[in-house]
Formats: sequence, C-alpha cells, structure tokens
Amino acid sequence: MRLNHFLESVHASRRAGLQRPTLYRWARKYLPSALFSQARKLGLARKALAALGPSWQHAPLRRLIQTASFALFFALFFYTCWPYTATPSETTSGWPSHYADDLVSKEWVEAESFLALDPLVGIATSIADREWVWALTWAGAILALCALIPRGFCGYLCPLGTLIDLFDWAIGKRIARFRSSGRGGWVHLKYYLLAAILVAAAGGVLIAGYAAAIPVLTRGFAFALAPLQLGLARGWYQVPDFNVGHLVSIALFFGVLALGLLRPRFWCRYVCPTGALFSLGNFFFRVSERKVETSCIDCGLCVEACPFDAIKEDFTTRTLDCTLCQTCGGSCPTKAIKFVERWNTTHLKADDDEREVPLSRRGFLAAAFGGIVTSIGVGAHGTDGPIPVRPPMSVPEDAFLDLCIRCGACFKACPNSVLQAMSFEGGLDALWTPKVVANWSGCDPSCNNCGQVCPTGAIRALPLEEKKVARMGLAEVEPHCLPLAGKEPCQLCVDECAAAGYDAIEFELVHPQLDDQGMPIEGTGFAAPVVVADRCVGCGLCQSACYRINTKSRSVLHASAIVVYAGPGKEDRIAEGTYTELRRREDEQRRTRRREALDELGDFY
Amino acid sequence: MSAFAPRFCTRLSTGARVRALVSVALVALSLNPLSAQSDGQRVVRTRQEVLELIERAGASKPDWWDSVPLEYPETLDLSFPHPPPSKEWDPRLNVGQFMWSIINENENRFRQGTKFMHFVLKRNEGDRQVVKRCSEQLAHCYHDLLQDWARAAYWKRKLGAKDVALANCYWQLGNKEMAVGILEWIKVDYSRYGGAIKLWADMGELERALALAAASTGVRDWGAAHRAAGDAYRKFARYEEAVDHYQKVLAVKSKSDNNLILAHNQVHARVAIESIQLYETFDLSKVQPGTYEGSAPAYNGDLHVRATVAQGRIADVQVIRHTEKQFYSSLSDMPVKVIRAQDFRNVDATTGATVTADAIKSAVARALAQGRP
Repeated sequence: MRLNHFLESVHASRRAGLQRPTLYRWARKYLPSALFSQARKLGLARKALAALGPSWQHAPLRRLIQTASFALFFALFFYTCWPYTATPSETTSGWPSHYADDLVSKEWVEAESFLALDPLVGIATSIADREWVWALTWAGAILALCALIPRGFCGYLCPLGTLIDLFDWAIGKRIARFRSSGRGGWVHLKYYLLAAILVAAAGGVLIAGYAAAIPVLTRGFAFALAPLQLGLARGWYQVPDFNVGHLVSIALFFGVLALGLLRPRFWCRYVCPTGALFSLGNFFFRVSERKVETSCIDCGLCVEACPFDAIKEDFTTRTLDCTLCQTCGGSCPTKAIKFVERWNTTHLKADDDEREVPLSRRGFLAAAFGGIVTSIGVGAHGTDGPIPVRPPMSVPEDAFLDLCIRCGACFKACPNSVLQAMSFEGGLDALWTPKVVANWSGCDPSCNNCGQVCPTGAIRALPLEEKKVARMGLAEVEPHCLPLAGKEPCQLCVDECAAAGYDAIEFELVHPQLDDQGMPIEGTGFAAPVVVADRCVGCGLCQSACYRINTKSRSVLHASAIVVYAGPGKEDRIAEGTYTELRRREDEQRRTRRREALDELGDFY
Repeated sequence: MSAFAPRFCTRLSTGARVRALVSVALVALSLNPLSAQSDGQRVVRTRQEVLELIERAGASKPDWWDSVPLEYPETLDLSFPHPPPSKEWDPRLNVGQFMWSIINENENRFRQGTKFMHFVLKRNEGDRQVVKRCSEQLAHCYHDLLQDWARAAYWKRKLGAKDVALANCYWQLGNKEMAVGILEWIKVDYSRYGGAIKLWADMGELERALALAAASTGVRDWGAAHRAAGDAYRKFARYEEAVDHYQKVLAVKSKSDNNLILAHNQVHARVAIESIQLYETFDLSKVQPGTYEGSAPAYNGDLHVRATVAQGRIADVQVIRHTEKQFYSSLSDMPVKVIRAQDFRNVDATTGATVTADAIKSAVARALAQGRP
C-alpha cells in the first residue's frame, strides 16, 4: 500500500522499472509538455506551485484540499448562515416560512458540518449529557477515516489549522522575535487539556467548547467577523453591543492565532485538545504512517518543511503528531520518505518507536484534578440573575448547558440578532451560551434556523410547525405600561403580536370613568394589553416593539413595559416529544372542562 | 350601558382610536371614506319583509354558533347583579364589566361574548331585571360588535326601544322609511358622537343631517354636532366644508379639564383633517415641481423619504434615512411601486412588511403635501 501523493523533488532519482501513476501518464499524454519538468529543468506547473510557496510545491494536493475545505467553511459560515437573503413570499397567505426556507435552500451541505466533524464536540457533549448525541456519528466517521490518514483532519480539513497556516504565511514568519525552539514537558499540553475536558465532562460540566478547534474558530468568527459582515452589508446600527464575554472570546481567538508567533501551528501541535483526540486515535488504530528509508542523506530539508514538528532529530517520525501532509516527501531530494502501511519495514533507516519526551503521570493527575475542580466550581456556581430566555425548542436547562458547545453558530444564523451571547452574568456555566435579547429584536415566526445549525441538539432541530407552538418564555405586562398606568394609549405590542400571527395579546379596558350610577362612560379609560398565556410563545416581538419605540425612540419609558420571562411553567423545555402534542393535550383538557360546564344547562340560545 | 351611539357612529374600536393617535394608520383610515356608502347593490325590502326577517333571525341561531366555544373567566358572578355589589372595577367578577372591558375591546371575542350573554340570560330566566340587562347586552353585541342587524333589531324590539340603533338596523336591512320613521322624532342629537346625524348622512340625506347638526350644535361641550357634520360633508366629498366643521370641533372650549369625549372628538377631527389634506384631496398636478422630504414613524423609529416632482410626475422617491431591521424588500419595492403608480394611495404593501410600507406611503404623502401652494 502506498499513500504517496506528494510531488517528488526533481532531484529525486527514479528507481528503474517503477511505473508512474496512471493519472500522471494520462496528463503527460494530453497536456502540453511545457507543464512538466524535464530532467532538472522545472516545468510550468512546478514553477507556478513554487511561486505559491514550497508547501504548495511539495504537496499540492494537500494544499488544494485545505483550500477547498477552508472555502467551504467560509461559504457555510458567511453565506449559508447569513439569514438576510430571505424575502417574505408575495403569494403565500399562511404562516410565513421565508427564513426557514432560505436556510434549507442554501444548505446543500449541512451548515454545522465542520462543528459535527470536530470529534471532541460529539464526545464531550455526549459524556456531559450522558446521552447519545448525533454528532457522535460524525466523530466516529472522521476518527475511522483518520485511521487511514492519522491526524489527517488537522492537516487537510481543519479550517482553524488552515487559518493558522495563513496567519503564519502573512504574519508569523515575518516576525522573528518571538520564535522559539526546543521541546519540553509542555509539548504534551494538549493531552492534559483533553484529559481535563473529559474529566470535567464526566463531572457533568462541558468546557470542551472553550478549547475545541472548530468551536474556537466559529466563535471567533461569530464575534469578530460576523459583526463586520452585518455592519458592512446592512448597517452598523444592526450590530448589537459587545459585552465582556465577547471580548474575552475574541481575545482567546487572537491568542490562538498569536501562538503562531512562537512557531508555526503552535496551537495545533501542542495545545489543541481536538488534535490530542486525533493523536490518541492515531496511537490506538492507525493503519498508515510516514517512513524513512535508508537512502536518507541526513540533509534536514524535511525537518524544515514539516509544519507539525513531527520529525525527530534522526529524521524518523513522531507518529502521533504527523498529519500525513506529505510536505516532507516532496522536499526530500533522495525520495527517502514514503507513506505506507504501518507494518511495512522494507529499507527502513531506523525504528520509530521511542518517544523522547514522555507523558508525565503528574501532568495527567494535575489535569484530572483541574477537570474535577472546574466541574465542581462551574457546576456549583448558582445563578442569581433572571433565568435567561433560551432559543426556541431548547432542551431542559441542565441538559442545555451540557450540550451547548458555545460555537456561536446560532448567533450567526439568527436574523436580527435576537440570540446573543451571554457574558459572565449567568456565571461561567452560561458563558457564551445563547439567550434571547428581546429588547434588541423578537424571534421571527418564519425562522427555525438556530435549531437547524446547532451541532449538538442543545437547540432541537424541529420543523417550523413545532417552533410555532413551542414556548420559549411568557410575556408579562409590567405596571408601568403606558395604558395600564393610565398615561396614554398604546398598542404596539398587540399589533406586533397580531401581525406575527400569534394573537396572544388582547385588550382590557382599564381606568374607565364611571357616571353617577357607576356605569362606565364610553370613550373613557385605556385599552391595556393582556397576555393570553396559552397562546404566548415568548418570542419577544412585543417587548422589542415596546422597547424600540417607547424606550429608545420616544424615551417615555425607562424600560420595555412588556417583558418575556423564562422559568418553570413559562416555557416548554423538553428533550423528547413534540410541542404540537403538548398543545393538543392542553386543548383536549380545556375542551373537556368546557363540556362539563355546558352539560348542566343544555341548549341556551 | 345606555349609549349605543358612539360605537355605532364609527366602527373604530379602541384599537383604531389609538392607531389614529399614533397616526401610522393614516392610510388605512383614509382610503375608505366612502365605505358606508358603497350601496350599489343595496337590498331594498318592504316593511313586511323586514319584520319577517327580524323574527326569523331572532328565532334561529347565528351560523357561527356551534363553532364558537363558551368561554368566560370562572371567577365571574353569573347572577349579574346590578349595580355590582363592590365599588371596585373588576371585569373578572362582574358580568357587565367583563363585557365592557374585555369583550368590547377584542374583536376575536365578539362572538364569544355574545354567546356568553345568551348563556347568562338562560341561567337567569326567572329574574326580569337580569333578563332585561342581558337583552340590552345582546342588542349591543349584535348591533355594535357583530353588525348582525336582524338579530340586533330583534332584541331592540323585544326591549321596546325606538332609538338610532334600531333605525340603523332598519336602514341596513333595506327599509329607509322605517328608519326615517324613528329618526324624525329626534329633533336634537344629544349623543356624544352625533349618531343620528351620521345616520341621516349614511342614508344620503345630507340636508337633514346638516339641519339636525345645526339644531344640536352647542347643546353640550363635546363638539359632537360639528364632528358629525364634518363627517357628513366628507362623505359627500365636500372637503372644504368638512374641514371647516372639523376646525370648529378643535375650537370647542370645554368647561371641564377632563372632557374625554371632547378630546376623543378632537382627535377624530385632527386625523380627519390631516387625512383629507394628505390623501383625499391629493392631486399630483397641483404639486409644484421640486424635491421634498417627509417622515413617518415606521417599525423601528422614524423613516425619512425624499420625493421629487418634475413635469407633473413623481420623478423619484427615495428612502433617505431609516433604522428598519426587517424586510429590506419593502424599502426598495415601495418607492418603485409609488413611482410606477404615480400615486401613493392605492399601492399594495409588500407582504409581511406593511408597517414599513405604510410608513413610506405616509412619508411620501407628507413630503408631497409641502409642494402644494
């Protein structure tokens, strides 16, 4: 078995009788010969690749795959998860569905694919919630694939890795002052971090999202780049304010990139817990690996080419770190490097087995301890503030915190930024989790995007019919409401609710003036809003209308006079079953009660 | 519940009153000034036919009956005592207050409230006083809320009342003589909103409406007669006289600081004046060429437009400032539609974006109003 796909160095001598791959021979036959190198003279293809950079020249296929993967990630994030291409239908008279339809029409690849591919996302949430999470299927698939290409995810697919490569190309390699070399116990930091994350998950607290590769990237994008997209494309007034949580996350994101100043791919090599997971998978069931043959002339070019610090002093492989990117293969002037099955031992220069810096038991103990402390510390942190209103169709709060990987995908896909990241107000436990900020905007009736892009099922991916009746909270009219307080007429919330199709707020005439007989005088009093609890889903459109007009625009109120609250009895937080079924059962009960009342009187017209 | 007149005189619920105040709904209000008069295919019935119709309707259930559930707060005192035992206004305890505060205010509860009143009536069959109160409520429900004229007349006649509401029922059912027969007895309209005057105008009798208005002017400090006279003129597209009368409503001085009925009539007059100026008398050919700006409250704050008139045409409409978050399409669609129609009055709003679209129309109306001599 040979997995070689690198572009051989022109210096490499060809062993007699070895056939070129079929594809190459066809290319030779049909493409202009100027593209191909002759003897020691570089062809156009190679020249072009060389112009792009040595890594392109050595392993172009890998760079192409990386580029495609990164482009796909970009498209999914900035195009598929950009809700504003939706326009309400001109023709339909029923319940609108333009935001949901728009996402479906653009989702030719699932928007959350990369998040689901990050195996740490599936594994950690599954352990924390003690439930099967569908992302585990993907984790299994990618780990299986990586038996063939160990840590291939990191070298080929991971968009964070590609971004770090870009950073190194644009900035990292130009600033030499922070460059470091040498190895120490810290090279295994990623394993300790992974251990801490898994121990914390076992303790029921999910911290994977803080450090797992893809969530770090999506969150960085969601907090640092998505506002730029929103501001440039639609106006800066649409960009919600930043909070401390945002800034911390952005700082972390740039911190991850800045590690690249120390050495290329520093994060991937030594810190990334997702990478550690692949390395472990690598350890247990890898099929293929990099081998060095006796023709090696100890020139050291491969060490220079390796972006992952995966080549030892003797030019053999640190197999757990090697991503099979094959850049070294292309750089080798004697064709001494091959990528073959693990058991292949022909012409080997040396055995690969020993590990120079051992994993330390103390390191693992410290990590485990850290994980336990985190799980107790974060878990025990009670929240004093108001219970946050979660996205529609969120699972029960405990499970929600165990499942929410803090990737920020829901913020990106949410039209009008109804969902915003919590800062530290709900404790560390709730950091970066989504909450409904109804003062900013209300949840659009035609949208169920947040559930559709959630990679872990913290927000359930159910059809619009379900979302339409799923209660995320309950609106309550506050005493300072203009008509309720007898100040002036206002029906912003009622109109808003009716326009959205919920009809969950109705009027009640308050403060009527009475004549001498105690009869109300027509035209007196104020029609104040009353929320019909069994119709309100807590979308917050009412609150948003009141806040924007009465508080922000007219400054007649210090705060919105209708507010959505979450909490027991006010929201449906279920992990299984449907919301339509809940409503059907409630209806049934009401009808039974009504029938009893009617039976006593018979026909009364 | 004495006064039927106010509800009868405009079908503006509290909701619409407020919308008028906010003035976003200028368009909605004004586009239909002649609606009550759209009597192209008015049915005409003989006295005999009308009376038969009333009896038949009174004896049968309305067609919606079975589809509307009987719903009411369980805390209500169904014996409907009068006056209510406690001084406190409590629509969840007192049946009359429940009807007033909750049923009257919510269109989607009109049928439910009507059914509920039948229910209370049946429960209290033995008590003549309660039966009378329930009958009054039913007449009100069928007339003011459901506009089921036959049933409203049935309950009115059962109560032996001969008032403007019954006259209106007769008129609506197709017999003008019967209506006139009642109205002729009204020499002065003492009602709060000029119901009798309005009915004369509705029936096409502008002269009699104005005569009654003249006779009723100044009987109270409500401005009701002028308001009704203004409405009557407006109905007959005599806008100058209408505005005159509306101005008189605005000029009424009240003896009390808390004259809510006058305030209500004045809001009506103010909205009507603006609506006449901006919409009903709008004539593009009278707008001076030039560029005008106007604004109107939209979904998320004020929206500003700039409209250009050149060579008697609306040459350009642009939304120049807004803070809308949703439905960008209407921001670009509406100006195009206005230019294409060369008018802002009968332009269909973009689906799902009516607030923004209406704001654009209002803002254009206000902008172009500046271009009139």
